[in-house]
Amino acid sequence: MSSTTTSAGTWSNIRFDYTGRKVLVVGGTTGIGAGIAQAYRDAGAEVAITGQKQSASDYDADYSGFRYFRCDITGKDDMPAIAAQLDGLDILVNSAGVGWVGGDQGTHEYEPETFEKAVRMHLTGPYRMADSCHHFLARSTLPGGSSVIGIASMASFFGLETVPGYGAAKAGLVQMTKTLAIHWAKHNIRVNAVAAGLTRSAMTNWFMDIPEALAPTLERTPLNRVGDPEDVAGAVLFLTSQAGKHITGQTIVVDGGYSIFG
Amino acid sequence: MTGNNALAGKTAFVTGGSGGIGSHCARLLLRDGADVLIMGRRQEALKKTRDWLKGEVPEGRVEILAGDAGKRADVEAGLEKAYAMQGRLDMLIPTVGGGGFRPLLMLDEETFMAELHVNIITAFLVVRYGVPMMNGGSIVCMSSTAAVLPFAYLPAYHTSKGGLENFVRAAAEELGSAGIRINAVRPGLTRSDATGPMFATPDILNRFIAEFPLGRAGEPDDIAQAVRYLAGPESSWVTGQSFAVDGGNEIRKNPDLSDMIALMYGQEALDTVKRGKSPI
Repeated sequence: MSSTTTSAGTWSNIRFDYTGRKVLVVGGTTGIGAGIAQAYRDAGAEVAITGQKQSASDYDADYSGFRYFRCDITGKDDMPAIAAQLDGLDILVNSAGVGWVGGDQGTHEYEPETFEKAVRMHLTGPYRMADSCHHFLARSTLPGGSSVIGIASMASFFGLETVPGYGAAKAGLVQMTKTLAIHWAKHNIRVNAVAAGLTRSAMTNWFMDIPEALAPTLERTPLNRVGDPEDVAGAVLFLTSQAGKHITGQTIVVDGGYSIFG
Repeated sequence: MTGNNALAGKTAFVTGGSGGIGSHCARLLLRDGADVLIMGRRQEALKKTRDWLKGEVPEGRVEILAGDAGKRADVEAGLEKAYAMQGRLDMLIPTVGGGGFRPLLMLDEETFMAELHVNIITAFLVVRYGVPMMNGGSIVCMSSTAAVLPFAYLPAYHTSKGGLENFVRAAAEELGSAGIRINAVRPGLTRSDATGPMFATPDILNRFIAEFPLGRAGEPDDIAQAVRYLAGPESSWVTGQSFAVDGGNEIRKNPDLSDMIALMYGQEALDTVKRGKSPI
């Protein structure tokens, strides 16, 4: 696999067993999503991923081990269309995300249209996907219950000035996690989130390369490093496993201790 | 029981080790390859737990030491015995805690402090005297949904678990530079000796379960699984955190147990408390 995927080797000999289980990772082509997708695949799952390009061959990375769907998570049509092509699902991971901060991106989230698009991408879209997949998840036989996982953010808790729409949606995702956890508990679907601190991905790489930009974050991170996708994957695979069978409605923070400072 | 060997060569120290949660924590740490020293106050209970653990994980190395987790000398003795198992100490799991329902206006400074001691000092002692023996590693404390979800008439317990969680955050900040992580788990109502009476009273238990979206109360293994995650390398970028393992109880509320308080202390005392007066 390419460098965009997790180095599961860093977990030494940790093993989860998801043999034959069906997993869909929305936004599974890069960054955190790619790390999660690879970790499930290493654990034996049949993993489908979504990305923005037309087909898997449009990417430099090799996604031949995954089923691929193009998905515009900011729209309405792709999510039910993807669900219609699945033949079952045990775990849905909503990991697609980007912040619009201006510059080369051409727009920023203080533009109302872009703000709204950010909310569709990080809140409405994940709900639409979960809704589209609900009937599969309700029929899942995964030990410990089927799962919906949202990827939350430090922006769920703090004001990040650059991304007002992203932050509002990520805060909303934490709340939606609680509500869906209650509503779908009767179908034995557990709904949890993992709030990632600054983690290596295409979305954050520009930041990683600027030491003076990174320094203030590392200074207030007790474990003194940024996250890798497998750090987030560790929490995700724990939550969806039988080990997490009594956990629902929670947002687990994986951030090296960044958020301790409030 | 087959484990994944992710903790092979590591040593864990568990207080409250003969309790429901503590013994199940020990079981999963042993399963994944760690050596484990369990401490508790009662030698007989420890022996029983050791026998059970040896049945569950025959190849596991478990030792016991009778001691009071609220006493520094006992904690130090336990830490030293754990360290001696293979000349290292990697995981500290202080699970001792407890509390009882009693209205604020019926508490005095001794009873209040006693709960802070059993819930905070027992963890503080393990961290304070265990950390210098570690070379990196992970600490997992036992909080409670009571840290964030209040009951009426449980004020000392709420104070102590809230304090414990801030202790975890403060310690995480100070210990990160040494490569030591510290986190907590928040059990909801979980089966144990201490909660046995609640499980044995269907009316009370059902009131709890009505507030648990997953429809059941906790078992010790539910909590131990989260402790195992936080103790091991899967969570290597997690520190200063606490999360609930409670069937979803925390996103709802606690049941109203006022009638139980009235039975315990008398309706007259409860009425007096509600008027803001002290019945004793």
